[in-house]
Amino acid sequence: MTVQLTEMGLSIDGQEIPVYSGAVHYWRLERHLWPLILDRVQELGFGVIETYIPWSVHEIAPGSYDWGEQDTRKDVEAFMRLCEERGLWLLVRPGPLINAELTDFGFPEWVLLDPAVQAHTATGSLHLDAAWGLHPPHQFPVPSYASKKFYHYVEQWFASVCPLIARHLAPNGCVVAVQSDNETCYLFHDRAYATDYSQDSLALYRTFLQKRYGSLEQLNTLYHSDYTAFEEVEPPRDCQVSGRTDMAWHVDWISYKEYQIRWSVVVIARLLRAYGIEGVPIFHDVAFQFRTPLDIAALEREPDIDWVGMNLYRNTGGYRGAIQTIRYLAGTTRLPFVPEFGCGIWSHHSQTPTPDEQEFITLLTFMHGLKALSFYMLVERERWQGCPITRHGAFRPDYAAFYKRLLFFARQYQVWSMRRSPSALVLLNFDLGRYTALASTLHLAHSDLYGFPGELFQVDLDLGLRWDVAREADDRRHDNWSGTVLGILGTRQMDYDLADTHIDLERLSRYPLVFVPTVDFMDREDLARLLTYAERGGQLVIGPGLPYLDPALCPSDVATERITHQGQTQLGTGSVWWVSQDSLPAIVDTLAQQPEYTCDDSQVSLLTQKNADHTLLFLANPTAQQRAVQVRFAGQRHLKRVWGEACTCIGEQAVNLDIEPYTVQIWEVLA
Amino acid sequence: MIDPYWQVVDLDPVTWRQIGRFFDPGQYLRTAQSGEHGLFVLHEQGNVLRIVDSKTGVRCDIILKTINDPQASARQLYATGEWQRVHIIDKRHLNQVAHSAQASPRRELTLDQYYHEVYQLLWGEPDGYVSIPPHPGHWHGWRYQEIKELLADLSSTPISLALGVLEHERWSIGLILVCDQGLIRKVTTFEALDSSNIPTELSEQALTHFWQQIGQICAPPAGLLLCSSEVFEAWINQEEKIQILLAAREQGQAYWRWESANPIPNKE
Repeated sequence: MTVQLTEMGLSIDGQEIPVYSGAVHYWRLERHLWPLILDRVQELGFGVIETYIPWSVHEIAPGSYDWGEQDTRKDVEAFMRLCEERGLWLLVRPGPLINAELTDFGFPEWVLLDPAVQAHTATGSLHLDAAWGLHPPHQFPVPSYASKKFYHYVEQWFASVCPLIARHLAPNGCVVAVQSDNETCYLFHDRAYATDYSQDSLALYRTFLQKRYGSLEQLNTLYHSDYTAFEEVEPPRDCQVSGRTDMAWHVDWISYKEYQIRWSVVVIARLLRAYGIEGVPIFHDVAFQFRTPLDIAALEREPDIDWVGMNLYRNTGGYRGAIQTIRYLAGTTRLPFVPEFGCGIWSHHSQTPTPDEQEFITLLTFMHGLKALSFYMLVERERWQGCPITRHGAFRPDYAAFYKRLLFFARQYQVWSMRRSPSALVLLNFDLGRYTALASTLHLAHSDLYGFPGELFQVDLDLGLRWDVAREADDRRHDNWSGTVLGILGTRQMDYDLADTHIDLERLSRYPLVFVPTVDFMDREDLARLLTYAERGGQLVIGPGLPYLDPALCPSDVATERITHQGQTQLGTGSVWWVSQDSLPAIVDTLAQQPEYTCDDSQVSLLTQKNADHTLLFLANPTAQQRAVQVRFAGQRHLKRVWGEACTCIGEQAVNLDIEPYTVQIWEVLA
Repeated sequence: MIDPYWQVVDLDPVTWRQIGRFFDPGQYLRTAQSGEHGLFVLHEQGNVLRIVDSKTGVRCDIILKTINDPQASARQLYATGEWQRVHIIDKRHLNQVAHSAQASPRRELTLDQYYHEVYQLLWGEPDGYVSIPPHPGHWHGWRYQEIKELLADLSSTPISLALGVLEHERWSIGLILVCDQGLIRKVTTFEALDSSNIPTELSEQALTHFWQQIGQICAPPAGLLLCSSEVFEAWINQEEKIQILLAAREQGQAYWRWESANPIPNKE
């Protein structure tokens, strides 16, 4: 490939470029303002921009395209040439789904209204986008991503748009990466039994089962059923688990939903390649989901997908989620990338961020290891506000100042080359996520609007299990096993990454210490991989349970034949530690490397990053109060503040610092 | 009301942050209120599936296996005084609401009409979703049908409606809607106006200034209200809307012009 993905960004014909990008929607801006707006983007310091190429905007009637002949704002090649003249690199996202707050999310209406395209819910109705979340200004029937007719339409669109993109691929052109679809996940109605029960989806489900089981006999044995053909298998349409024998049927449907997403993104990526997108990475952006139906580790292992990122829209109140996203990307993906990093917000969002909030959240994510991002949007347009540049090409001074500073700072310290040193990896147990998904109900259109408490959506299953699976599966809890691990690492200011049990052995092996919440059941392959990690020298901490079943609740001896008691079990050159929640503090103290720097205030986060030339110390105050803290270390340190008001301080064993509410301070360690 | 291709541009971030709280469509449909102590009983054709207390979670201690008369059960539970609201919800009813709402693509409905249909489906079946106290049938005195009809009557030709809310000598809200044929075609803010000499006071002069500016830049104004943030909050949240404005005008805290034969909402 001409353009290669690296751990720091993109390598274009050997030239490393950081992916600090921002979105500019050419078709929504006056054509005569394009040069001015691109100049403004460069004035802020950006060398990369991103744009969608919206299907419905260009295909104005079936088979009839406007590439600027009728509306000059649609001349995307002219836009690309302007980028090329300025040396701006470009990420493009031709859909087919784009959202972009467009009416119908960028799908042509005749495609959506074709009955052969439409997704169906578990009740047999159509699935409208308004079913879940607010998506103004008009409801539309959601397409099935298993529909053959849908891909027929997509192929026609790609046959028109891809040759045009191909003419501008790097290194001769500006396009350095192309996205396959956008936030593929049932248009946000991602609950297990919500959708997609269309005929083509059910056919794909049955193909999936056939691949999984090979023979109908195997499926019948596991399902305790007597099907005579795969075509007879119907999926669950709500949680219908009345005993252990129902589990496989439900887990398979949940797994199919994950498969359908991966399959769709791959089909679209292959279509992009087939129509000329060669030599540049193809990437995908996940909306926000860490768990089923998104399986990010599996998606990135697909040979047709080079790179997966996760979008991030957070205000100050959502800082914990922002940190979790970045830790997860750092632990899971090739290049921690946020393809849509909130910069301003869509016009139907309840809280437009202030400039201070944008600064706080952005710096917080850099602090936790974000390596690549595209600010969405850099330039305002219809149905979007709060950006550094208005649609008229003027700077919005309150917002623009931060981005200019940020890009200057990033270049000065080559932030994209900085590395954290996480001492541990905490895995989310993917099977627990699936359990939560299957043991739930009310996946009905509009049930998000009624103000129901979360517990009303849950179903208690009586499966005779030894451990409290629902409790351990709830990753919002601070008082379960994994919540306790995260709490201990946080209060001890130990740096860690997050991932899930689907990551591969090579990635596991990067960490000396891995924590995994475990209960009665776990996927055999995932468990075997974790034990191999331990055999090869890793320290694997599991608990509160020891899996003796697989996710279908059939007996599994993968763990039990090698681990027989709580505490340490030596495996190869490493160990498995099966520990209760109460034992976790002692285990962390025993096994985790103590950080070089600590802070006496556990409400303040502290992390370091290093590259060949610099060591940066980040301190974040995510509270509403100013905090006076003591940063402790061994020996003497000379610190220089490099973000904010310039100053220096020297301390022996410690320095005292004041941190304003909701701010991040960055200090360079000079000696 | 909402044009499927409406233009929403030049949004002042301060205004947009202030009005963001109105964008949750659920608040206009549901009875459950944020922070309210509620009891939710989910049943399926009378068989109780789950009982959840909004503060304490699942309530296994409440012995209620079947619901024969949802209204009576709700009243009985509410009468204990433990909850501010009791909800008795038939899962099959929610299923039917979802199914009916999505029975066809619904392209003929504007988004607000679509949500209004969901509202009618949800509350139209007396025993499907029982809430005690019940849904009041309006949102703080605002009624969908009245607003929709008023807008349709006002905008046989393109007109503007605007609102300015002054707080600490700054327009915390400066909102302009351009409407035509009963549809909101364009949404913008005072940022779309000539930024020089924008008055930052509540006065007849300010009213005249905005009236002229909006007429020149957007569409002939049909209504403009300038008020303080305190008056705005009261106007939004209290049911006696015109009385609030009249009292505020006496105190120089609200100024408006209304160019229509129709009275302003909530009837003068």
